[in-house]
Amino acid sequence: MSSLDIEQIERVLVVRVNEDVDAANAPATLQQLDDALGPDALSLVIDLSATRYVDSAGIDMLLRLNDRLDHRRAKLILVIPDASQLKRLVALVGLPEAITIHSNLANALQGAAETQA
Amino acid sequence: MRPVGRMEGDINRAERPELGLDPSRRYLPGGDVLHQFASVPQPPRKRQMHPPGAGIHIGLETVARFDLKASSFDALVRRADRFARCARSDEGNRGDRDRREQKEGTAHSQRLCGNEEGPHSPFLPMAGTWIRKAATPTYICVRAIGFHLGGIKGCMEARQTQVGEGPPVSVGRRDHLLSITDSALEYMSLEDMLSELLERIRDSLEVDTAAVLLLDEDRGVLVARAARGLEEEVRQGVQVPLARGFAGRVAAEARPIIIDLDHADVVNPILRQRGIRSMLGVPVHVEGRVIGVMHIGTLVRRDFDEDDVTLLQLAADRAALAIDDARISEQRATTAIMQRTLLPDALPEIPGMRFSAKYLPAGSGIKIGGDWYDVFQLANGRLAFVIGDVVGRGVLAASVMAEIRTALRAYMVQGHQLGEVVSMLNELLISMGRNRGATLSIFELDLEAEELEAVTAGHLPPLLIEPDGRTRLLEQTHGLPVGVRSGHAYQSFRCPFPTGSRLLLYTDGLIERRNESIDAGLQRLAAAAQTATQHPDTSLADDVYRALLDETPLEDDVALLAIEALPLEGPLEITLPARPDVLSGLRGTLGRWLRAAGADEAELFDITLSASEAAANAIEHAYGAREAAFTISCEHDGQQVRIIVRDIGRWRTARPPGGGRGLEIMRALLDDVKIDSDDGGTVVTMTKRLSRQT
Repeated sequence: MSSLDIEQIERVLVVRVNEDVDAANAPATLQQLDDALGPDALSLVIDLSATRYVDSAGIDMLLRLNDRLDHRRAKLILVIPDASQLKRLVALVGLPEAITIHSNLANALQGAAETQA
Repeated sequence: MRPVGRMEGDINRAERPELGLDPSRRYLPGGDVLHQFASVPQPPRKRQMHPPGAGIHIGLETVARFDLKASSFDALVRRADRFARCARSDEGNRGDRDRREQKEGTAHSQRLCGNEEGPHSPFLPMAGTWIRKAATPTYICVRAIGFHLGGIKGCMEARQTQVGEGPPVSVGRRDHLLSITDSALEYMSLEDMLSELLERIRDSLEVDTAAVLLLDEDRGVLVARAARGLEEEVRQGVQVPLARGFAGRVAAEARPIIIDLDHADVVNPILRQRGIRSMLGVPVHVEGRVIGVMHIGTLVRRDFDEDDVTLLQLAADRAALAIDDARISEQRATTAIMQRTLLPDALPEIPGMRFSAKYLPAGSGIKIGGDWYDVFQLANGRLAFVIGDVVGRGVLAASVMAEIRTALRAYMVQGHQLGEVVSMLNELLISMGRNRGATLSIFELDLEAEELEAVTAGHLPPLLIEPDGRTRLLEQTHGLPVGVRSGHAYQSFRCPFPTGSRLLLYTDGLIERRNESIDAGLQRLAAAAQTATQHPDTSLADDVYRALLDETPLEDDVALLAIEALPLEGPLEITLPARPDVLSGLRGTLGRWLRAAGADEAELFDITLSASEAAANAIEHAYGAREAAFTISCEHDGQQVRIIVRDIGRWRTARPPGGGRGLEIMRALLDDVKIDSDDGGTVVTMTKRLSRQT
């Protein structure tokens, strides 16, 4: 029951997260995203523009999700604006080495389209 | 006070010593009080009819006369009924304690009419006509008996007397009349009383069936409530629409109707199945309103006569009193329960925030109002609060209120935007065909950002008191009331809510006064709220309530809810249950505290996230332990912030926190993180120096 706005644009699933991702909702969020992802989806864009905090449980969740997508030959892309405090956090834990991060949704969608091409 | 005809002769003062009561007691509205006597009621006939409770019930019998001079007939009846009600309940003259006692043994009243020559006869208003076409009456007498538990000193052996000549019926019938007006019926529960009354009617009138149906005003149907010889009718919960069928016609036309089932339109199949041939039905009245129908039937054809009608109407009147009393106490109880369940049990306790609320039902609290408020925490750590008012009062308004409250919570928990939430609610109410509009204001408060988001739907504008004491009505948007027009789009607006801000939500009963404009009421409210800010130690809702409503009789229900952002400075210590869902709220409060401590955005993020990591770890430790808790203490000296998270649950094993990554994050974001773990729990001490020194 986390607050996710999920939208499918062709073979890209775009998910806007409207709240923090922490130990309280990370497991449910992972489940929800897994369920939302159709068998033929090629990319999952998670927009964290409206998210203030992502804690270690949230980071773990994103990494696990990335692994699952890897198995399905799909791609995980995060949107984190440059001004967001999360930018520092994800860099700190080395997330950009595993997951593509864009600073706005338009770039992320373009990135997803290129992947598919 | 002058004696009236034969009534004087019938009441033998020698046998029934007076108690020196003042006959002109204030509490009796109008009418000349002719007599007041204390008496012990007739010994009950059956064992179960004994008055409940210990002690002796004293009957206080009051007889009063109302002259039919200039008054219209109906007005006089109303006055007489009001008098009877007062005399029965002895209202207004006694304290609550007495009233409670008096409830145990209730009361009874009888109306009689007469003129200077003629005898008193039972008077029954039947669709505004006299049932007895005797000589034109010149007065109405009311004989009321209120029963009081104990108390009146030296109570004496006395018999309940008949007043006047009694009804103009045969001697045999008089006994029947007595059996119907028997005060012992008063001591029974409504169900037992109705059954017993119907049984006595069956005996007296020698009929096969007797039933009472009560009107459900909201749905416009009569519902079988008690029956003898027709028990199936009650078991099946038979419902007869108004104006249709036999009972429906009796209620709609508010007059006695006699029918022959061989040639009549009957809705209820049970009547035919039972083989009823002839029926007589009379309306059950309370204060001129029809509240139900009482009917009798025979399995052989019978021509009911005027005496039958008189007696059945008397029984119906008798039942009406009991039904009315029972309904009032039932409604009071329902109201109390609904209000308890419809309003939040407790307001949230959040450091640096003060919530206060008042709910005041108008009048005697018999009818539940449609006003409500609600406060709840959202998964994203924000707080939602609502105030609203459903059109109308009573149980139906309350049930719509309950639906709205539930729907709002559900939509909010799902994480919808505020405008969407209200739009969805609007469509829901319309699709459910509730036909009842409601006004409301709904707010979402982001503690850390110190910002409010709001949607109003036809509701009076909330009052914002800014930190400098200025007041402002929040009326940026004007949405329609919900449940009125499909497709209406509700817009939200935002406004800052920094420390020192106060928000007052209220319903119209708080400000509306008769003969006064709403603007005058709003001005009064603003002035009261401004004055209230001078009392920082008392809650805003209390202060405003005291300023505006204390001593003022309420004309309408009032709900008010106040939210105050108090300064969050100095050391802070919070104890929270070890549940993951407390984390987001904790971050909100910490964010506010850090901002007050002078932290910039990056520092606020680093410290808050780290403290949240430590708290998540404490929660993980306590996993499975019931009622475990943890404490977080925060302090700063203007340069350095120190936060300590302590596990205070009972621990099975103490593990190093973070499972790796959490600790890594904390160490990277803070200056120092120290972990002390032993059998008693874990203490995590975190420090960080602030760049901008306060």
